[in-house]
Order: sequence, then structure tokens, then C-alpha cells
Amino acid sequence: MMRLKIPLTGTVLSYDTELAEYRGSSGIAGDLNDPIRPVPIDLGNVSWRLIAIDLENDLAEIEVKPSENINTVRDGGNPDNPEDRFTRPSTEQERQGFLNYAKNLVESHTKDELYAMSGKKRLVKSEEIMRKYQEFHSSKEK
Amino acid sequence: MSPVAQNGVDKQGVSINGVQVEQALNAANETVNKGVYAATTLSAVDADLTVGNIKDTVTIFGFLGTLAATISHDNQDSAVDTQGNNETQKIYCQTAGVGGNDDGVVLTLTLDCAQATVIEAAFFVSARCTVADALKLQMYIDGIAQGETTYIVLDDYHQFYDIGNKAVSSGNRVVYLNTHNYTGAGVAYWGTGGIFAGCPKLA
Repeated sequence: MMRLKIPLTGTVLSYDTELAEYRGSSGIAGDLNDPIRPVPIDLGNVSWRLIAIDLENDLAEIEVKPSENINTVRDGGNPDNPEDRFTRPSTEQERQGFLNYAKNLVESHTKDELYAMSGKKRLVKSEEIMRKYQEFHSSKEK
Repeated sequence: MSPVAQNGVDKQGVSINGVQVEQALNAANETVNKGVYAATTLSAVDADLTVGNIKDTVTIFGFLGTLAATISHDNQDSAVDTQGNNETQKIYCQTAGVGGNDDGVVLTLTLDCAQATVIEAAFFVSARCTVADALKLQMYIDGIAQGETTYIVLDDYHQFYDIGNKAVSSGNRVVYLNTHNYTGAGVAYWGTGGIFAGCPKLA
């Protein structure tokens, strides 16, 4: 597994400092019609889980895990024909390849380029939410 | 001199003039008094003494039981169900056959949280789709993406599960599962699955 930081899109609905006190909690809630999420770029044959949200820099820290299976085409088969495809366990080398692909995709592009690739806007958040977020984090650093 | 009870018989059921008085078994208790009893069967005394009322492999007075053990379920065949004794601790479950095309919400669960709490949610899905390396499933809690699966496959149903948690404020909070299409091509998707979510009391 490995961790990556991906730019965020969506709309921040609220920031609750009481909830942010709890270990592991961001205190943030997203708009159901425009939820907070990493920009939708295809990281390949991996899954990921949210670790943390950085509202200051509009980044999601995610933990990426390679797929344990790979869906592939039989020799001479048609990739678009389900009957010519089969799923098998991925090898250690393939799993490392999946991680390398995701890492290179993210780290070889700037934040602006990742937004452009995904076609999504930057994270929307109000000044009031940012004020509360910055005050809370400043108080934690003291 | 022996004590004399009613009708000229003593307390052991034997009359003063030698005539014996029968005792009787009572289905209401297990007491067997000293005395004389008429011939009978225990099942005639208590009609509940049957093989169907005795656990299987157990024998009671010659009756080998046939009653099979059963498992009680907390939640059976319910599309949506809640468990728990109070509003600060509930478990929700929603199961459904799902399907659709491209991006779209496939399962939604709304939790009525009476107070600020942590939603712990997990989903399971068995799914396939029509285009390779196109669709992935994502779980959202309270408007924030918690995770994303690997590709839904083309050739066979594959199982996915994921777990996420999030502190939330009181009120109606939504957990949902949706598909996202990374190729842009029209993709049909079939799956069946469920969402489990709970609101343990915030410590």
C-alpha cells in the first residue's frame, strides 16, 4: 500500500469544531449534490481509502491498495467480448506495477494539471468555514 | 395411634380397615409421593411429553427428541431495518438488487442521528458491467467520499466491500454507494449488495 495526495473537488457544507476534536475526524460535511471527493482521475487497477482532508491546501490524503485480481484477455481473444476475458490473481510484480502507475500519474502532474485532466472545479468553501478551520488548527498548534 | 384423616384413611393412603387409596401423578409438578399408584403412562399424565418437544439427540423417559436447533436472526428479509435500544446506538441495513448505467447512486441509506455521533459504514456488492476497466464503486458518508473500489469486471460477478467512518452532527445523515465511469463510454452495470451502517454513541 502507499499514500498519495490528490486535489479535492466538491462543495464544503459545514465545518464543526466539536466534531473535529475527535481523533480521526475532519469535522467537515459535504454537499450531497456536490460531495467532497478527490478529483476523478483514473488511478488504474487500485482501490483507495480516505485518510485525511486538508482544507488549507484542498488536498485529500488517500491510502492506495493494488487490486488482488486482474481482468485480462485470452490469447487471440477480443477484448470487448466477455467470453474472451477472464479474471485471475495478480502477481506481486503486477501489483507493484499498479501502485507505480497511480503514483506516477499523480506525482508527474501539477495540481492545476490534475484539475484540468479531471474537468472538475476546485473545492468550494466559504470564508466562514475557512476561518473556523484555521482558528481550530491554530489552537491545536499552540 | 396413627392420625386419622377424612373418610377414615390415614395419611399414607391406607384406610383404617385395610383398603388402599391410590395416589396420582400431577403434570403441574415433579413430586411423586410415597404410596400406591394405578398403572399409567407418563405421556398420559402430561401430554407435552412428546418427541417433538424434546431437543434432538436427547432422550427423556424413552422419548428420543426430534426438535431441531434453530438460529434466531436479528434481521431477516428486510430491505431496511434498524436495531438498537436507543437512538444513540443503532444499526441499519439496506439490501437491494441494483443496476444502472454509468455514474449513479445505486444504494442509499439515511440515518436519523439524534445526537452527534460517528457513523461506521460498510458495504458489500457483487457486480459486473459491460465495459472493461470502466466502472468503480464509491462510498460516501455525509457528503464526503470515503473510498473507491478497483474496477468492476466484465466477465463475471466480483465481490467488493469497503469500510469507512465519519463523525457527524445530529440530524439525517446519508450514506450512499455510487458507480463512477472512467471511460466515458456507455456502461451498463448489474449488482446486488447492501450497506450496513451504525451510529455508536460518541465517546
